Amino acid sequence: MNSALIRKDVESFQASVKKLSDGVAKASSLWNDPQFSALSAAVGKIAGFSKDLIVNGDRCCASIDRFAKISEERV
Amino acid sequence: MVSVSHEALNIVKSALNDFKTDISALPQQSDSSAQKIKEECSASIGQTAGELSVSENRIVELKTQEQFLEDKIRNGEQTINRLKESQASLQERLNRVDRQISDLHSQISSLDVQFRSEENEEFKKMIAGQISSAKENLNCLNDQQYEMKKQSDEITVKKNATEKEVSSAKTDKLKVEEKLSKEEIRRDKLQRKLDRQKNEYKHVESDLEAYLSAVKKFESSSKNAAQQSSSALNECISSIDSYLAVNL
Repeated sequence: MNSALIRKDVESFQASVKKLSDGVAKASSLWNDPQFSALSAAVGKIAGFSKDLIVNGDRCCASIDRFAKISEERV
Repeated sequence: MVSVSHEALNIVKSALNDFKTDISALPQQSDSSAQKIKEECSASIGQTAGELSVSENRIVELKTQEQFLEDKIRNGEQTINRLKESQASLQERLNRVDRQISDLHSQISSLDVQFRSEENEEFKKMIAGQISSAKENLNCLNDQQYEMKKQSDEITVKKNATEKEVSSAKTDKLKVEEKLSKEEIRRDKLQRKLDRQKNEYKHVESDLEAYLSAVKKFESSSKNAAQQSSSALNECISSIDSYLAVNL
């Protein structure tokens, strides 16, 4: 038992957000006006939402790892 | 000033749709991961509790063994003391019989001398009678002496056997006490491990709840933001399509 499951989920979230950011960045050479700036700002907001998730995910992984360490102690 | 191509809009629209698809399954996936972790933690706590229970049962068993051996030692020592007292008493009686035998030997020797030196037949007969009587008493005392010695030997055998049993029980008791001490230490360590696991599990549970809450919030907020952008893009694409459809 370890925190790998949660880490994998968090990595999935991060990968999805990055894929979106990369997709939007790819269009930047073909789209260059204030509307694109607004879109970039919206995508940036989404990336911001993910920070809370990552922080909570890390905290969760730490407590799971602490539990696992105790469980693995041989008596 | 507008500077955008159809292609750019579609690239972004595709990225947004992919994103919405990617994150839509994530809350369920996270719930499933969290549930699995909770189950594994509960199983681990259950295992520790099981080991603790086995240890406690072992301690009860060892204490029972210890008590049994203590009783055996005490009873054995009491038996040895009783046997020693019996033997001492028997020895006193044996000593008295030995003295009586010795006295009778002296008496018979003395009567014998008298008999040899006596010339009077009447007196000789009387002395002979006394000698005969003394010899009869001597035989009785010899029989008693033999029986008492036999009893004393039997007591010695029994005493030695009991001492051996007591010594063996004492050795066994030391071993049991050592095992008991080790098992009590192990039991205490298991108890502490269980307490720490339960305590940490509370943190795991609350951290998982906070994480799942963050996932749901992320999914909901991101989906809304993506949807709004997607809808806006669809309008842009429709406008461009309409513009391109105009026959100038």
